[in-house]
Amino acid sequence: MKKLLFVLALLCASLFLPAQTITALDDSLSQTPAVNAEYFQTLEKLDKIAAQGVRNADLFHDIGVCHFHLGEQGEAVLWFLRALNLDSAHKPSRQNLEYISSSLPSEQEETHEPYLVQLFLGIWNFFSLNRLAIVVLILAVLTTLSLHLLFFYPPQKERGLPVLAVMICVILLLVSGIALGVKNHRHRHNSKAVVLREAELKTQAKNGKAFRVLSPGTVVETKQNGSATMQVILPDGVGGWLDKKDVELVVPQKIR
Amino acid sequence: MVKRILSLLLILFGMQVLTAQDLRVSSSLKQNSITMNDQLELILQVRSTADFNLRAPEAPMVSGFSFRNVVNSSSSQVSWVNGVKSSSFTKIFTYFYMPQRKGTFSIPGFSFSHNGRNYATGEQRIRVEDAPPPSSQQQHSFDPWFDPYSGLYPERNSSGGETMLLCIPGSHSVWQGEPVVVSWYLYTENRVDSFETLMEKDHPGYGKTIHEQPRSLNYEEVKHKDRRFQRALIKRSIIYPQQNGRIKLPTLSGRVKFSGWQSHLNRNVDSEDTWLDVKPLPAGKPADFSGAVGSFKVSQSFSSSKISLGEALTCTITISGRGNFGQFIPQQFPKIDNFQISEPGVEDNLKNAIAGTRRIVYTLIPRETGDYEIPGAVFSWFDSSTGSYQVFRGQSIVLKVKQGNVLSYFSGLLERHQPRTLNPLLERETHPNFKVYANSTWFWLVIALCLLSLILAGYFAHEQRLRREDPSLYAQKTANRVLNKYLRQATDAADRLSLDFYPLAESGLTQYLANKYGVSRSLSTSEVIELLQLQDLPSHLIESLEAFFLLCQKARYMPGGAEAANLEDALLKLRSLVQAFSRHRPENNGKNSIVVEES
Repeated sequence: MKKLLFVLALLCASLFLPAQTITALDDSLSQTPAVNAEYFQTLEKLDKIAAQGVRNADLFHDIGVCHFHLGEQGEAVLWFLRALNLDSAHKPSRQNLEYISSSLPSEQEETHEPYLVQLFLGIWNFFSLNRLAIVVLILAVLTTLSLHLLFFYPPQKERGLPVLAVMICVILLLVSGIALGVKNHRHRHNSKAVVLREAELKTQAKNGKAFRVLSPGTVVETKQNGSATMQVILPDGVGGWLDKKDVELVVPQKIR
Repeated sequence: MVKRILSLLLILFGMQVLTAQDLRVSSSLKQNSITMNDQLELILQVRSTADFNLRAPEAPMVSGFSFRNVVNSSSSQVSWVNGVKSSSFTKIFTYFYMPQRKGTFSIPGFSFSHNGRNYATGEQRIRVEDAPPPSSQQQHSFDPWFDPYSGLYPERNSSGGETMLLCIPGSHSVWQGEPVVVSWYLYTENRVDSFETLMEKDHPGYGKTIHEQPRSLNYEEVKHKDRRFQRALIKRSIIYPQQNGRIKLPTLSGRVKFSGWQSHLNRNVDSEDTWLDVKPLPAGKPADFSGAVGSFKVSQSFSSSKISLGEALTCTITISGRGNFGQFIPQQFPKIDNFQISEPGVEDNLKNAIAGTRRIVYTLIPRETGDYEIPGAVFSWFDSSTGSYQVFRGQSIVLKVKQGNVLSYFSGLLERHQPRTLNPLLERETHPNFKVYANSTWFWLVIALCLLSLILAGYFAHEQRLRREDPSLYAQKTANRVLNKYLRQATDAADRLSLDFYPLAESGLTQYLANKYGVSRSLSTSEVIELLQLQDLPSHLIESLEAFFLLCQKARYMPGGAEAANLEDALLKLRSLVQAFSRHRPENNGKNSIVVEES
């Protein structure tokens, strides 16, 4: 009986011991989004709107912001990418995505692209799907007008100017038309997916060996979509398989 | 005989000398598996029965390792057994490498020559693993030659001296929350080879973070209690007192290992109990106290005083100094109507956890144009040097928000700066469903209109070109069109050899003239001719027309005036007449010759 009481006393004492232990402080308070009830309520409201099938870049941006402040970095990246899939010129979403990416360890080591590539990407992103459509229309009208001018240009005058105008308009129209087609295709068949929670990258779909751990918010390209796993390619070119429950497609299957 | 013996002896001696130059070479690893914190020791052992002079062979290049150093030692042994002398000379070269990454690596063998003979050793393999957790970290000097006492204590008795672990706080009395640096030093009078941290016992009343933990024992000479000691830093932590009164600092325990013949002195040591007096923060805490304690200088700056709608204003608060940077959180920016304000972003440029500069960045995005008074940000802290609360209130500015122009659409197109904060919620009142313009009906309608107008323009341009470059062909085409339009029935009648051709031709021609020259259909033939003469038409064309009308009237009203055989001739006349009319342009003022082709 005494032994039993002694053991119980030890157990009780052990319950108090953890209360006295201290934890090392985290220096990076700034990087930890505080859980905020206000964001939670806003997210619930916005989620309801999104569940109705509304697709709006501002809505997706706000959902991403809420997720970020609730500490769900993977979800935040996913919704910012969804906003950008609708409108690649959506500045707040792109800036937020860059802000989150800069905090990922893999991104910090990444070297920046050459200036000309950055410039091209900047222009490519600026011309969103709908902006490109408007540009195509304007160029189509300009091409039509320049052709009209060429058709009815006085024969006794030098035709260099209208020919040049036609050529410039046609080239620009072709380039923007091709870009519109590519963008539209990518918008509909966006192969990007986001790792929502820490996931193991495996060598094979079934019984594969894990060789890398991916952090939440990592953006991957999907190659093959299995029943329970997904073949993905990482930004550094490494390929592997992920459990489907750990990743989510930027464009859900039902929308495609 | 003597010569033979002498020569035999000489040969035997020479053979002995030759055999003495033979070396036996072997290489080995001290450990087949090491951690990232260890160093690789590759040992090359060279033996001979005679004394030899050999410099350290070149260190093999090992992938995944960086070569650090090589040390050598030599020994010799001479023994007499049953009157026979036997000698053994050994040189040991120890090569030190530092691992650079994990994995299994192969170490190539040595290859060198000595006195014209080549020697080589075999390849070996080594595995490098992750370093063990820091709790059992062993600190030692990486330098294999390192001797902290060399030349310092030549007279010291090797088995004497004291070794202890001391906990030294930067200050013994601090304010609650004020960080204090606590260092643990190993004080010793002996030849300590390494120190292995076994445990760090914490006590209530503080938070802590590791500030510095050297991987090697770097000694410095100090005086302690009027005695000369060598001391090496074991660990340095930052303690954040969270409880008032007297708090006990963490107790560090470790095992001290002595080198060589002093290894019997190895033992565990604990740091002595050390206490810290913590003063409570005084009353009068500001309502929005951030929790910062220390000595700070605070300043504020705005990115601009004039922005366009759609652009962002940033307000940056710079906090420099020494304090509990890891303990306080940035305060919210005061709310402003018609502005979206981000959560504060923090950029640290700290020399260590308690000293440096922190920037708190707020992003403000206006929703409407106008002039706004933007209040300054607020930051409050407890100044540990003066023992009082301080509040920084930044100066407010007047911000002009103007309407964005076309160029503002392109702002930021070429910028690529790292965002400093997360953009705030956009909070739109409505969320219209996204529509792809390229999939809309109106988009394709505009494209179709463009194409249609191009087709029409092309057609008319072609007509114009034809009229300009080949008037006869154009006239023929036009005449055909006229015939098709106005004289279709007459042509059909001619094809059928029907005498209905004449009234139909007369009626169609009158209709054509009525449409082209505005001549009424109710007029008589002579009146029509008179009116056409006023239209600046060539006289022969009018005559031809009058002749054709006369032919029709004859055919219609004169008995035997029309015969089927003449129908073809009449149709040709009609066709020529229409062509002549088609070719005629009133603006040419008769310059173009209009000739009725006689068939």
